[in-house]
Amino acid sequence: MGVFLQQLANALCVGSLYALLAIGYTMVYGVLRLINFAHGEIFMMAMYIVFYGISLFYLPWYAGFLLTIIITAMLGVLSERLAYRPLRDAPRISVLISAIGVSYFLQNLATVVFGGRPLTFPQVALFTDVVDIGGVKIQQLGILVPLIAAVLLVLLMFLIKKTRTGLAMRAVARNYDAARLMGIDLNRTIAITFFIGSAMASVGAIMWGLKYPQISPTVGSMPGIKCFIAAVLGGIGNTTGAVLGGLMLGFVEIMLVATFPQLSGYRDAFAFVLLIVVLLVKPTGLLGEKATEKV
Amino acid sequence: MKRTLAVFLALVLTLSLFTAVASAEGDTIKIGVFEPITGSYAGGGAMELEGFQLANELYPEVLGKKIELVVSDSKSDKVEASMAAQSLVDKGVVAVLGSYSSGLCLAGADVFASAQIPALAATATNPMLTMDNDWYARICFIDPFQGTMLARYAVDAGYKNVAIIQEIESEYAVGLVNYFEQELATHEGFTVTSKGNFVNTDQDFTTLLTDAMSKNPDVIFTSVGYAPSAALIIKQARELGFTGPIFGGDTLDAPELFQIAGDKVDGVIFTTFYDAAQPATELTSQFLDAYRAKYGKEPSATNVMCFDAYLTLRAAIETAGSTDSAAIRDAIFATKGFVGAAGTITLDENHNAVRPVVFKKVKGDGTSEFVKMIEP
Repeated sequence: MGVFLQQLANALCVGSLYALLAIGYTMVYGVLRLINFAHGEIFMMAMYIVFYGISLFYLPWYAGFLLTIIITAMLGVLSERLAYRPLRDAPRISVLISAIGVSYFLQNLATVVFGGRPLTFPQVALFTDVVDIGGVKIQQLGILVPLIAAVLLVLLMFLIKKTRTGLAMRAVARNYDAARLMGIDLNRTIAITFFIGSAMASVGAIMWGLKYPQISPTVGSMPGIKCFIAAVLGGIGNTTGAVLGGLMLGFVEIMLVATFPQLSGYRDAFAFVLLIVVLLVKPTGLLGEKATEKV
Repeated sequence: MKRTLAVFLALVLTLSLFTAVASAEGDTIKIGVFEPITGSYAGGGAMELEGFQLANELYPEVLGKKIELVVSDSKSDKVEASMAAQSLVDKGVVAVLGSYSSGLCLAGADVFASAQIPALAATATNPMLTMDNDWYARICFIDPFQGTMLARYAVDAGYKNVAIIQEIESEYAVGLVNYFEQELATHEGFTVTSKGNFVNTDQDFTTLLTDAMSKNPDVIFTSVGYAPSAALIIKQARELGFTGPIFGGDTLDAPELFQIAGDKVDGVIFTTFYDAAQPATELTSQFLDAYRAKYGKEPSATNVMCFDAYLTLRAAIETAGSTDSAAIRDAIFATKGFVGAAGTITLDENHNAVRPVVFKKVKGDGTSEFVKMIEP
């Protein structure tokens, strides 16, 4: 029983990390119908910014984290401004290719600037200390991460459902052209979407770095793909769906490996198999709406 | 305007195809360095490169010509590795040094064999590399020896139940576990309680460890392709409350072990090629002084082995008296009693070196101390 609880705690933690990243994917898709493949690289850059902020400038951890969230969010907005906005009126595939380009660009930029050798993410005692709860040993971040993810989600829901900015975002997601006709500032709304999505990714990156301290230029590629799968699982475009998808993916991954340890080498493959199954059985995802084509 | 831009871009892209410039013939002898400079094994590749570059600085010439190191990045990926190997061949290297990771060596081995260029590995220990290949040699021991020694160590220490965690896509890691298990099976009462697999991009081992620990092992044996994976395993094992000993093979001998796992590495044992406490040769102090002066830190076993690999190759070129690849290859294979900084190098009939294995123990501050040395 203790082993099961241990795996469950781990699954909850990993699931929350995936959820945080999936939110960014889903929000950008909802507003721009763009699958932002560069999201994983924003995640990676956030980790490097924290590393250099704390090791080079000797910032205390809370200042370093806060600064990273702001800088990463601005990096996201910058990438939108440079790589996606000029392609607003181009066919959707052009923006997709541009996203892939940004992803490779950031990866190689990081390799050239930060070097190929892995670095160690700074460890913060508040998060990394291990507590013993009824025989289950987990790091304190195992409790803090789901908590933080939950708080952020509530705030996000509030923003989307109860504020004018959220209303604008929902309008743009519903009907792009009509929103423009209604006088919504498209540039500002999209910029805010990227800001929030990238900020979420950077929170995810910080939590990820605390749990798995190894940073390298390619650290964002697998989590990026997995969170894309999580977003699709929950219904791409739906924020609650993204969180649900993230949690589900985390649970499935951990519990499958826990139940069949001999298959642990195929861990990443489970996520992709899940994606294929979802696309075949329910392509709109768990909470996605059927996309009706108006003729 | 758009048309000129399009034409300009097309020109730029076409010109970039010609960047593979033919190298100038002349007074340099090109030696290829086949290493992962980027990707998951980048740290290992960097350690090897440091060793080669230091040796190149101290011994830059042979046969009256300058030795030029041509580096080709295998990007820690087997497909890229064979392309990197091919690019070295195309650049006209007379011999190749490297790689870190037996898997990457194997990926390039066929390329070097078909191009008939000799290759010398410094730290790759999987026996498959030299088995059917007449062009690859190595100056380190091979895994049948290392795995057997690790098993005997476990037996002598009385670890009856061994949990194994191996990197499934690393030929080296899986091979080492194989030889370990073969030897362990010959001793009554010693069993492998669980075998967990992971891939080198994995960072979360808590599931594997929880499963391994549920079977109450006396010790955990980690067979990894590169130290950070072992560091994460050690760190997470301790966090999960595993208090037993942990040991591993030669890939644990890297600074990343302490950098990532911190003081949790206390008590970890690993096998390696060299330790400063071993009887030193005349070159050892020269190497240590030069390394400390150039890089400002203590060298690892990989650095010194690569230093020796370069020197062995250089001596072979000198013996061969020419840059003829077959002659160099024969000279490498005939290396006997060559004195390097890590010890004496003698290659056997399978072009592997016959050398002792060193056991070291890591302390909480990251330094490692010599435990024992076993001759083959």
